[in-house]
Amino acid sequence: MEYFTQQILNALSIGGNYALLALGLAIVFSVIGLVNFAYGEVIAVAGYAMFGVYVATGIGSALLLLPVGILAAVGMSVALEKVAFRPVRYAPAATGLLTAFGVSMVIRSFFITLVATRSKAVPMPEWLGQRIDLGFVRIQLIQIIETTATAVALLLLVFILRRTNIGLAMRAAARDFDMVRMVGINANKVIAAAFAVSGFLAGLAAIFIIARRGAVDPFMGFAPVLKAFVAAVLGGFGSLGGAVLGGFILGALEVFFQVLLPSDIAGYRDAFVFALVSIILVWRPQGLMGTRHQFGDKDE
Amino acid sequence: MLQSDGRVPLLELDSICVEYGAVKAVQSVSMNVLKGEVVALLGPNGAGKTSLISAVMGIVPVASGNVRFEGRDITRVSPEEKVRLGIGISPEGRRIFANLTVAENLQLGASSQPDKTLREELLGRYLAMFPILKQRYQQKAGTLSGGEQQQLALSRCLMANPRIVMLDEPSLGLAPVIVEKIFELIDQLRAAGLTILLVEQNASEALAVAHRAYLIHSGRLRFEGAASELLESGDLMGHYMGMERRQ
Repeated sequence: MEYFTQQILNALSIGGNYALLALGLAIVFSVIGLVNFAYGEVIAVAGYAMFGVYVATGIGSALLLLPVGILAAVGMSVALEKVAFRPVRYAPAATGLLTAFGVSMVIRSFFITLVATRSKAVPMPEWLGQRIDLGFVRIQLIQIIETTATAVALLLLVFILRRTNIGLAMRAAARDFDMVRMVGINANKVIAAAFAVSGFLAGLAAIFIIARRGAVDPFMGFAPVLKAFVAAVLGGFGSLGGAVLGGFILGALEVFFQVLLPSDIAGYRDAFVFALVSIILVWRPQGLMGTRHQFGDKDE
Repeated sequence: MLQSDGRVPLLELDSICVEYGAVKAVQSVSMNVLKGEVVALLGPNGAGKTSLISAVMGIVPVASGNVRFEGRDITRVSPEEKVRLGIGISPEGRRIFANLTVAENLQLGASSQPDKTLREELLGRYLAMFPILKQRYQQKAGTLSGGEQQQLALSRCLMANPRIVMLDEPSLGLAPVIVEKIFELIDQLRAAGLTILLVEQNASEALAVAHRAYLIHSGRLRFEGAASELLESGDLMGHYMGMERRQ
């Protein structure tokens, strides 16, 4: 029973992390059709900002480092849009994709040159690693916090998308961006809001990625974003609900194979996961919650 | 530029060209719309009507020429800023936000309007004018019928309290009885003093509500004059619109 509960929590916290990042990718894609492959670097920037503030001040308090990480990610995401993506906004989609790869390399090289290729320790408060005894099960505090924070962030996002004007504009822009401009809504504002939300989600995810690793390195964002991309495609790229669903399914599959596979082939876990995802996509090419519209057919 | 009767045009197009690569969709078209006027822009499918008003709106680039609004050059002004200046559009194919409710569509339509009291007044006015939207208020716009969607597209652009509206093919794809109703609504808007640029393939209905008309074909202006004049000129209509002369 304890083992089972523990694995469910594992799946929820890993899946929650993928869900946050998949949502961050999907929200930008749904508004401007850009697959932001520089997203991993937004995570890295959040990590290095926390590391930098820690080194500069010597203060390892979560109260200081967590807001720093989130603000850095939001700032970086919005700045990326302004500096790198805005000039190519009306260019063919491949241009945006290549721009994202370029930006990603520049930022990565920046950290390699100015900090180091190897990882740098970021202190995480000890209490995060604590286990809580619930009688029938002992669970890690960080997993509870991670799952709760993910749930709160998702609820907050639902609130923004449903109840605010800018959220409404983002949902409308996902369907018909030019029409949003033709009702008098500033295109730059809607896009900046999408990147800000995307950055916030990356910052939140970065905190939990760093809490697990206890360190930052220039490549830290790559693997999580690759997984998040798979999760978003699985859910139906561009569908926000799909991104969340895809994230949790991917997390559950990983934990499932981790538990199920004998230890000598457990290293091939991701291969099993991706094989299963491929099969699902053959069955539903548009993803689980994707529509033909998000598949690229604007007329539905 | 003053008109012969001394009125200043609200919207003026001066030698507008629109090009898609090597394709010249609109070639040096000049026209104007006076305050309080209903002007029909007619032409067969593919004549360049939608390209022209998309260029006026700023959704497709103007290759050359100028757009002026109340005498001010707005050729390079962004679409969102044009809405704020008072230019509304109900685009071809309606382009309602199908994934949002009727209420949310109308809310977005009013988003350029900062004055809350005015927004509520406009909402009240247009829900009274389009009662079906009141009935469907919380429904997803995608579940509406074609005629209902057209009414939503019209009221969405009116929610910005525009000084001129450009209606692109409001009758397209609708049953004759619904077309009748849409033109009745346009007539009501005209009576309320709204300035309208009406883009249509349905020439007879459009000319019945319009004061003046322009006819374009293959991207070029072929006729401009009073609506009644065009209606009586069977040759022009037959030649460019493929219509039989009415008895």
